[in-house]
Amino acid sequence: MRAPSPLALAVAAVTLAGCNPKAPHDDAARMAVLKDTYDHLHARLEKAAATDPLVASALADHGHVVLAIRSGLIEELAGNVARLYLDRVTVDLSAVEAHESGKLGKKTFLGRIKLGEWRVSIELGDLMGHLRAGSPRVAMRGPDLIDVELPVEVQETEGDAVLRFGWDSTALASVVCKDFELARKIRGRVMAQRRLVSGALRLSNTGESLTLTPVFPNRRVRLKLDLTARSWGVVESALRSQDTFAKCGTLIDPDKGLAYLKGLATGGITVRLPPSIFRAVSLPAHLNKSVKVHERPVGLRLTAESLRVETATVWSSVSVQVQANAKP
Amino acid sequence: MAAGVVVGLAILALALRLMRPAPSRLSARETLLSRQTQELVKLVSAAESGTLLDFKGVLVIVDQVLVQDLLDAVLPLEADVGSGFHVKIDSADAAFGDGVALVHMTGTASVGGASVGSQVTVYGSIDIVELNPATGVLQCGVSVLGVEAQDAKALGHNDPVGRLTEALAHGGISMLLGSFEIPVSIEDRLAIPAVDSKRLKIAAQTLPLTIAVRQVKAFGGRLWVFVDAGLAPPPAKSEAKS
Repeated sequence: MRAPSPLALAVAAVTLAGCNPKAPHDDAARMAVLKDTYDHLHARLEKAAATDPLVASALADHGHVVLAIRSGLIEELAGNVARLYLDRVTVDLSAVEAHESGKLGKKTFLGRIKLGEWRVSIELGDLMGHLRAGSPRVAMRGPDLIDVELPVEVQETEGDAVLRFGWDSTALASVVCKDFELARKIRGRVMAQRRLVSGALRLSNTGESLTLTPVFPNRRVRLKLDLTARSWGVVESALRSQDTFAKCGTLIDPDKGLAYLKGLATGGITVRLPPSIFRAVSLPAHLNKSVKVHERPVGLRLTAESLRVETATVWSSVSVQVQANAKP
Repeated sequence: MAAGVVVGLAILALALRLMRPAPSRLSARETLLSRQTQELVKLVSAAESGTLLDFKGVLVIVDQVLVQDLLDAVLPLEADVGSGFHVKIDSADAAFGDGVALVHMTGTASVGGASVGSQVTVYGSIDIVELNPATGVLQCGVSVLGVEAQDAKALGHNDPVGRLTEALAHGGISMLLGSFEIPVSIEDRLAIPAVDSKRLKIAAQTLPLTIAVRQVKAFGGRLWVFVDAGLAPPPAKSEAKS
């Protein structure tokens, strides 16, 4: 018998190897063990997850997409947004005009007699208010508010201003004190001072985004003012110019008037911050109205479902409806 | 001559050894069940220690129904997936119940341009979830766990199901179903708009953030994407030279 040639043996071997197998079949015994392990682990997972408050919160939302953001992160972002509202901001005070007025009476042997009414005003000219914001205090206040307390440093600035002082005598007093109106150009100073601006940011879920809308109903800031020494001299001269018998000297004491005006300046004037300083912002996590699946655009309709603060987390939920079958 | 016979017999012996069922490759179902069991072990450990949803910044939770609807919107999917195979997917199911974000696709496969093929089931899992660095959109990628064919013979000889699985695993799946987006964007900055009014002009400002996907879990019918987020540290100031 002839021995088979090596080549024939090799061809036979390769042919046999090529016939090999089909796909592996399930090993029933191994599968049974795996399935048991799987079932046991699945039951343990369900049991443990059921007692986890975060899982319960997450599963309470019915939207297709839930965004959970830690309160700490929201507070950090909100605080920095609030700080940027007022940090390195310059408020033009040129349109600001402050008024103060009052009545003056005097005790006489006839009793108290009304002598007249005075008024003082200051127009701040080219004065500017330079603001620097400090570190805010921020706290979540459910269901949707983030309270903000923002310390603001007002930096000292100087600029031109006009001071007006007027006097209207009553008929009786006008015999000895004529009406007068003084206007003097002065140099005013906004004093360095620290103020606290309080408000809140309201969280809302629009479906597409989570927004922070500022709620600052009280935007008034009291600014302490002063005049340069030279300008106080100008005011004093103006008051003394009325301190003559022919004018109002018998009724008005320039020293007291000057002290009163200094008191008014120290008390400050109220400036209302423009509402446009406080701007709404969108948080950086948001939903898109269109996605690409295998490079094909798919349109979506988004509907906001819920927004709540729970377990130190902001939970927002959105339902997503796929619009139409995307064409290749 | 004798030496040639010896070599030939050795090759024959090797071929006979190769004919035995390959113990190393598991069936698609067993691969899936093994993977699910491995993932469940991790989930159970985290759940029993109270750290199942241990996140610091943002947690994005996506319902399996949405992923299934997104896949349905682009079906059927069809592509040459390599090694001469052509696959057409007619239906897809998403199931995120037990550790694996399973995408279960069914359709037909054929080889070498044949008009007749076999019904196939492709088991895939969403293993890649990342933020597009340019847009911040969450992108998912599917990897192949295994393939089942109803009529493997219709796909050729020499372990056609294994070769189809290999073809899909080595780039074929991306021909069939490339990455898909989840409709959530997380940007690496928070923008504060400008003010441009008569009395007030403030330039737009941004707060830079650090954003990174840290972990992805699948359970309870949802995909849980853990995203670390926080304010970026201010840029280091260059030291002044004396």
